[in-house]
Amino acid sequence: MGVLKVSKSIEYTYFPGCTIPFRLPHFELTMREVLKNLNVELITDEGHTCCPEPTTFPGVDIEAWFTIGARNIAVSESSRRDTVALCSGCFHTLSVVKHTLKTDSNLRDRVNKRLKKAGMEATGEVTVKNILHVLHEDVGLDLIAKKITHPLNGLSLASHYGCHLVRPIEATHMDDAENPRWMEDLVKLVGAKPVEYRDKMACCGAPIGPSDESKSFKLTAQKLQKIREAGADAIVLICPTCYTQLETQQRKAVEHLDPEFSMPVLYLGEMLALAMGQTDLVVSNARRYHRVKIEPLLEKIGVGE
Amino acid sequence: VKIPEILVLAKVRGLLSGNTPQTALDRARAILSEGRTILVSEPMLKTREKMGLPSLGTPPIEQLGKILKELGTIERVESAESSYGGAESE
Repeated sequence: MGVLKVSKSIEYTYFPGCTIPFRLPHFELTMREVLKNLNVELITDEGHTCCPEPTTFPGVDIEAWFTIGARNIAVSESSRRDTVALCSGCFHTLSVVKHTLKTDSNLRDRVNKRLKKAGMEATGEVTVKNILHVLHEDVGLDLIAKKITHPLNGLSLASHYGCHLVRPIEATHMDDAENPRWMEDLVKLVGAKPVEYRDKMACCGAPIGPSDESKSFKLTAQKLQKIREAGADAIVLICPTCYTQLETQQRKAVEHLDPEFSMPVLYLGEMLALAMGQTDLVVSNARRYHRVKIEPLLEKIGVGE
Repeated sequence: VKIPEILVLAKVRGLLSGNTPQTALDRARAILSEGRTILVSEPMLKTREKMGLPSLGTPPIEQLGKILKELGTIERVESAESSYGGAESE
């Protein structure tokens, strides 16, 4: 499957979603600042609502899921810019709804009948991107490399993609469904060593939490163990739900295995900010948003010395 | 038939038989009433302001409500809430 070649753009319509702007705003802060450094701006549109989230809402009402998703697509289409979602769940919903609008004319007609009453229409023509499309494909590795002032030499980082960023590939237009490499390319670019580990594409465990918390944490613990066995200093990821599961809930997930277990987790924007010398953005919010201490990582790369 | 279609069907059957997790219904309820999965508090807004992040406004709930009324989504969620935890045999 070929990678979709996307148009170059300096401004994107930013789809904020719910979790990043209100629970993990340091994700948005670090990525906005990193993008500014790369001459990219995120423009907010107040017409967007929840995407809606893809793990539970389709089971409650899948037609409503498509309809609300299509409404958000219609808002994005009216902006005439490519849309970027920092959240993997939002990206998944928007890209799947967009793809379905393009390929299923029956659904498109049904949904648009409802949207018409609000004076809206969704065609599926808008380009929906995640942050890897923006960084890897639009901005490009060459330009990012020029902005690296503080290489993260000596750090070994395991990339975690999660479930919603990559699949289904006909809708997400990522590089590879089984073994995506775009995040590893960025890890290498910032001077760190990408760590290969078993079952890289396995779920973090979060989606089954509402049904069975203990099974959910079992999956989380297995994932964390495999990453530790592979020799990583930390995990780097994009998805806020995965972050909550692997970082915020880490203590709970591993308590029955090893109470001393500790695996720091960095958001991709934090990793880039550190490498671009925007360290204050990370350090000033570390205590509030990182339950697993990142100080050992910072010491290793000479921050705060 | 695609595997995701089977999974969605299983979720829908879970809903119809009263076995949808309460968290899923709470999230759906929040989306229908707030336009977001989480209730935005004053401290959350202040944190954004302190960080210099732009305001995101209030989601257009009235418009969303009109669109969803026709679909019967609100009634569906209410019905699932009233049957939560039961009807294993269905």
